Amino acid sequence: MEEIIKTAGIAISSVLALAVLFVIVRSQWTIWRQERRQEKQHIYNK
Amino acid sequence: MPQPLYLIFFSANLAFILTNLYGWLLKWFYRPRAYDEDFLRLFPAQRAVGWLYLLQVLELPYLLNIGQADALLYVNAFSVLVFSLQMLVMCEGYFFPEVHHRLSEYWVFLPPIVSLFPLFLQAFGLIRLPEWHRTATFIIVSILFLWYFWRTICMALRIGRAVRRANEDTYADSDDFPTRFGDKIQWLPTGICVLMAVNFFIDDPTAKAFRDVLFTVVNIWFCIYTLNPWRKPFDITAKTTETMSAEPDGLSSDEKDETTASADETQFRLTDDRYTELSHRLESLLSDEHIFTEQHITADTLMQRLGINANYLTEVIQRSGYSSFYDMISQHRVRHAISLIRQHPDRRMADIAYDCGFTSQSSMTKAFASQGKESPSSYRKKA
Repeated sequence: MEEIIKTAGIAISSVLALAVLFVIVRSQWTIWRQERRQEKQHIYNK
Repeated sequence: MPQPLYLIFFSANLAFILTNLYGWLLKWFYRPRAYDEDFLRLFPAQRAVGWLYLLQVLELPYLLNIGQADALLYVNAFSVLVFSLQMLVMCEGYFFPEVHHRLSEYWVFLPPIVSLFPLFLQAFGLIRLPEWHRTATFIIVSILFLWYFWRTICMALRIGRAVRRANEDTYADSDDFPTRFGDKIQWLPTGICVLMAVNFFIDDPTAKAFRDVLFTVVNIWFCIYTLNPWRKPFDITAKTTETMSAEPDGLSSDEKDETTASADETQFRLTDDRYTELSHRLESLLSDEHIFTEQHITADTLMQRLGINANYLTEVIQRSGYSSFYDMISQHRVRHAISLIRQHPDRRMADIAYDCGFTSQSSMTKAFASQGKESPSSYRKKA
């Protein structure tokens, strides 16, 4: 029983971890892109 | 366990505990000179972060019994439950400091305390639990993990909404939204919660050692970050007039708190005459002067032109039927863009975007979408 719970737990938490990692990477990518755009705008305005 | 392996696991855990203790001392007792007087106001979650660090001392049973199954079970369960909860407390204190919580809302800490206490005693060798306790622990911790995981998701979404709301009250273009601290760390509690869960279910001293090393590095980075005397506070403007979604469990927003009242329930501060005068002047700025065509316009510009403060401006905007400053400017820009597209179907979209005050063509497309309109090119095709 314990092994079943452990295996299921590893599977579910790994899937959740991958999903969260995907969301984090995507949001950080969007933030990075926005910061680059703002920098270019700032340089252009100068 | 072979001696070298024991030494590695012991060192990793000891480093983790010591960096946590150092972090606790910094959070509770260190005041950067730049913010000496206002420190607690600008960085409201210092005590909560300090508690998170201090609580890691409760990993001591594992440090004294490296590799032992009972101690490992206790320390992994402790990490999953207490870390997740304390990070929720931290986020609540950092991003929503104006929300006051009753002591009774901290009942969410009871299930982990009740389930961890017997394991804590067993880890120290003070009691011997029955054989089925391991299976029961895995079941209980799994249920609690799923509940806390859900709460970290809700917290992340709440932070995202609050940051967006603060941005929409100040800026008229999503390209101008500053990337604040909140955007960068809103998913951190969720990520840490699942990492701890993966470590718990693997139930292996090697995985625990990896976890210790990873978080020791994070702690060292965080201590260096804390020691920076010029670090900027997170500044979510406390215009919390949106209704935060009430959570059914503890640590929920107090709906009766005035600072979290919905727009409909906001107490109007302006008299009707004053509001009428201001709304006419605002309408004149928008319809006659086309102030919305100014790029990078912010709420400060309107405040200066109308001679009012942020609270009054928000009230005028909302009483006029707009949800935010961003919504008001977007509506006017989109209407103006549609009329320009119809009048000059051959003009470049980028030129029309700049004439309407957008910082880019993509920003114009986003504004059309946010207003529920078709894309600008659809209007051109119809023209």
